[in-house]
Amino acid sequence: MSWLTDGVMQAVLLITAGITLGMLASLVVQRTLRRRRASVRARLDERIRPLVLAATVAEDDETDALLARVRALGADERAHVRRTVFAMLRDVTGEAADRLRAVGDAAGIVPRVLALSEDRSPALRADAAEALGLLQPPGALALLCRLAEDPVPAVRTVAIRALGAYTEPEAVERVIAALATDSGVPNNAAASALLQQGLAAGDRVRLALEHPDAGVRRGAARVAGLLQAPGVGERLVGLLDDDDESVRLAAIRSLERLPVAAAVPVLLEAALADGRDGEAAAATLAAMPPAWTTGALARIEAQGVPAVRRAAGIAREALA
Amino acid sequence: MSARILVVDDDRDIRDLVAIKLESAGHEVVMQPDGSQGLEAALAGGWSVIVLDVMMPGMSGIDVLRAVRERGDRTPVILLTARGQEKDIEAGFAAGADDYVTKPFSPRALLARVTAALG
Repeated sequence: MSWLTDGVMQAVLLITAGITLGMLASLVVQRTLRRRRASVRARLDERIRPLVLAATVAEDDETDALLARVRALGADERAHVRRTVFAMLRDVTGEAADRLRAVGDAAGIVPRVLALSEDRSPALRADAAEALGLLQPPGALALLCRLAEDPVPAVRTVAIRALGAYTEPEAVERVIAALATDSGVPNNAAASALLQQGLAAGDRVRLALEHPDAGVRRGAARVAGLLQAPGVGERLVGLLDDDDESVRLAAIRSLERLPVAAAVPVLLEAALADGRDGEAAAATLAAMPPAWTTGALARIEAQGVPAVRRAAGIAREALA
Repeated sequence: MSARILVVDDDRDIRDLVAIKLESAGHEVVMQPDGSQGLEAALAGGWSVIVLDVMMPGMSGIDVLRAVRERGDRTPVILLTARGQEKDIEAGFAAGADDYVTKPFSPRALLARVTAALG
């Protein structure tokens, strides 16, 4: 340690103090800038928010004047209009949403969103995908289909959710593809989008029940009962002996909403077997028309394990 | 007919969107940003209708509704629930809700439900 002279020590201390002071100064500057940005935004919000809110309840003859006011705003103000419209569009539907879209359009939201859809930042591409779903400008479907293939799963997920607002065949096709096990999109998200597409997806859902990928079969089975698409009941019965347990369970639960007489013997077999589908099968049987299930429920009562009997009994009581 | 309406929601955008629609129909609107302040206002009484968000941090809309009904207050309550939350709807009706609206919502449809609740 003889090399550690007083001079070296002083230099080390000075450098350390300099670095510490530099870091402190940087923190103070960042904090000040953040506060300043927040304060600028708060002032903008005070002016812009009432204008955007007024647009949501404007009468037809007031709309043009409001949109002209938006177009006349400065660049920062129009940017704030875009942010406000984007946030509010998540909350409303119908006429108010149409009015907000018109305000967003007047503030130049569409070109901005189109540009963001190609941004390097995945967070901004995801925002663009959400905005495309909310705004639905011309050309949005093609862009969303592209974003549904984005290398980042979070972007793909947002794009698939947004595609739920579209009923065109290519949108349905992308959403069905996102149900696949290795799509990187949560099955729930894709199934919800499919459900949102409604009966426009009915034919594809029926075909998807026979897809080789278990994730696609599961998602389609979950949605089939809710959609009540014609002709899916018989195909759901076919899934009751699927190799994948989650597919079987989804089919059993869907049959609760879409009862099919042909399912009764298979459901009874599942309820009496020593498997994990037993309780769900019993509950579904109990929810079906009594004319089909009296015998099956009597057998469950006589031979079923307690949990399965309870599942059948509880559902029956609820129906009564 | 002008009515006094309490709107309780932790989301500022939703509070403002509900309020501006109801005010545009000539109603007087008071907003509260959370369940406990909402309950305090609700219990103060004098409301024609209460619009109550279900999912709020701390005290939920269902908790507020139960507390209101426990006091014997039968003010019409319309719940705001998230789409797909059927359990919230069941729990809401069990707690004494009169109607519900799912989010995202149509302000025009909400106004129609408020008008219906006002009888």
